[in-house]
Amino acid sequence: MNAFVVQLRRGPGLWITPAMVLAGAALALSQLQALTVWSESSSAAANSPYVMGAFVAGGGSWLSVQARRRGTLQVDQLSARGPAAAAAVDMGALAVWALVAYGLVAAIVLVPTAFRATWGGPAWLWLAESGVGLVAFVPLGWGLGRLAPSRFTPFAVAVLAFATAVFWDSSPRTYWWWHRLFPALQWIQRPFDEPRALPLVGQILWYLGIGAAVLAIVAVTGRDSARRTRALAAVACLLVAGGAGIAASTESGHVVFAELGVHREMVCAGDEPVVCVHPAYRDTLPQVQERFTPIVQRLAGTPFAVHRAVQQPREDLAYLTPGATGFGLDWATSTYVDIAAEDLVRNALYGTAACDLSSADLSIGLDPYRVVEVWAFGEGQVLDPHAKQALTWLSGLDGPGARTWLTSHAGQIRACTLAYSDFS
Amino acid sequence: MLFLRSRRAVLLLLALLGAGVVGRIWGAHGYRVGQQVPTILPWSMFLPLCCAYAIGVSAASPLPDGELLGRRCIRGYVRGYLVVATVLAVVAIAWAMSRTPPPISAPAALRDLAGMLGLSLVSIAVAGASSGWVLPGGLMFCAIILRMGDVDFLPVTWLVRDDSDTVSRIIAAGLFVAGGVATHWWPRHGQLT
Repeated sequence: MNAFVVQLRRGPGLWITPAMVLAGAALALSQLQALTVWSESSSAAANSPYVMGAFVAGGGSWLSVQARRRGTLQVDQLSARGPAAAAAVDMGALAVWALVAYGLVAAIVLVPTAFRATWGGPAWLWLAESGVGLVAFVPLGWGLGRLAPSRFTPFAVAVLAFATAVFWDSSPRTYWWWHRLFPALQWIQRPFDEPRALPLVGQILWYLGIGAAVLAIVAVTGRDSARRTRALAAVACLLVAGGAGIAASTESGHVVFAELGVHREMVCAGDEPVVCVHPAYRDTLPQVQERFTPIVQRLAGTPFAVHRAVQQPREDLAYLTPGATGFGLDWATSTYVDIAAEDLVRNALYGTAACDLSSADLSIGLDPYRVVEVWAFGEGQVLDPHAKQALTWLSGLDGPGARTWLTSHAGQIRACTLAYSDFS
Repeated sequence: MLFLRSRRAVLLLLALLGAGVVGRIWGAHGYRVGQQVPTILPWSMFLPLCCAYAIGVSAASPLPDGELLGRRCIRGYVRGYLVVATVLAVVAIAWAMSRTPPPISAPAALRDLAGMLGLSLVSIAVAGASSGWVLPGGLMFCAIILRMGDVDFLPVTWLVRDDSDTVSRIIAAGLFVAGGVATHWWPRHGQLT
């Protein structure tokens, strides 16, 4: 135990930890718009190894580089506890500091959430999986440092770890099972979804297997033929194969690491319309109601009237429940309430029609059918002369006039075939 | 010649050349950052950081105690070496990123090289060559992740701002000067290598 305590004090973990905490907290807090929803806070905390992993890999590399450069490898070979003992102590001490840093980042995010959240709880298994993934960077960095013992190696390993995470994360095959075997990736979970336990357990076994495999390789290359070495090698093989196998076997190829759309119980308020949100967003309900009311009033008495507005997962917006108009609400803040209002308008007007809504810039080349969208939303300026003229004309109509026009052109609006000549 | 060998100047030269070639090939490729204001950040934005730290590590003494006790003061050699290596890095990065389109291209990369070199020299002076990566590396990682989250915190995100951003240039210039001043304490007794 003494060697472990010494390494805790003298190893790189102590001076890397503040940097890890700062970077991890910066990432977690930059991903959160509000500390009010458990699943989002859990996501942010669990994503922090995305950047912390680079520091841990660099620190692990520093450990093995120092041993090679100082010429102290023979001490490891002469150790009565076997050649892997020193490496295990080095890596263990750094792993403890990495977990301390991860725990602090998680506390920074989760403790305020505990006081503000209205529904659910932290995703403990997912948080644990990310923590073990962070620790997996220790043997990876350590191994690379042993292979290339240079003063530049710790830096190179840290940059490589971070660049690989960014590359891996930005590649299009994010949801394939082998993609999740990289120890640090970003993933935002919504309160509608439930993380699946089996793939997470598979990942944990895989990460533990990486550490055991590196130690087994050190022991074998150190010509340690003791029974413990054979046992360690066997455990490493089992963990690596078992972990990858479980992660791969949960679904063929295209794995979903969360059950989507599991939690659909809603909290509703209001009369006309009834506005329903997920209980995790309960505090936002008055704000959503207030923002939706003028939109609903403009569309009342037309084929686009909204009687029941229901928050739905974004990927399910096309599958609306009968009689309800869906909207997506990503975060419990005023900016995202505006985005939710845009969603409501689009779903009310177009339903499941495949209109081209990709043009975010309403000032250039605005399609005529989108003028109605701008009018219903009640805000926003259009600079396109035709669109401006059409919007002015539509806004100039009184309530009954607008209702009559909308009713008579409902088919064209739904089919996205409205023309500027129709605004007269 | 002995000084150049002790600094592994050939390795550094090869590294800068390699960085130039890699940047030339991959310079235009990038990855999307930011949700509300998406930007394509070129992969070659890692090159200034790598070149700057490589220069810093190469210039730092592998035997600081020995050089401190030597008859001849080599501080002038170190500074001359840094100047030549920096000029070579500027040429390599400018060539590598000449085909990268704005808004983040060669001017931003050269600005980052200046800032990262200064920060690397300060960091190496304080923590040593194999431990000094935490500060410049951590700053770069944080700049990218903050940019991914649409957060603009100037002391960090100046690294990933547009070519024409004046404040970023001032910060980079300040760090560059600080790095030059930090070499006054090279080599330092008991410096970690």
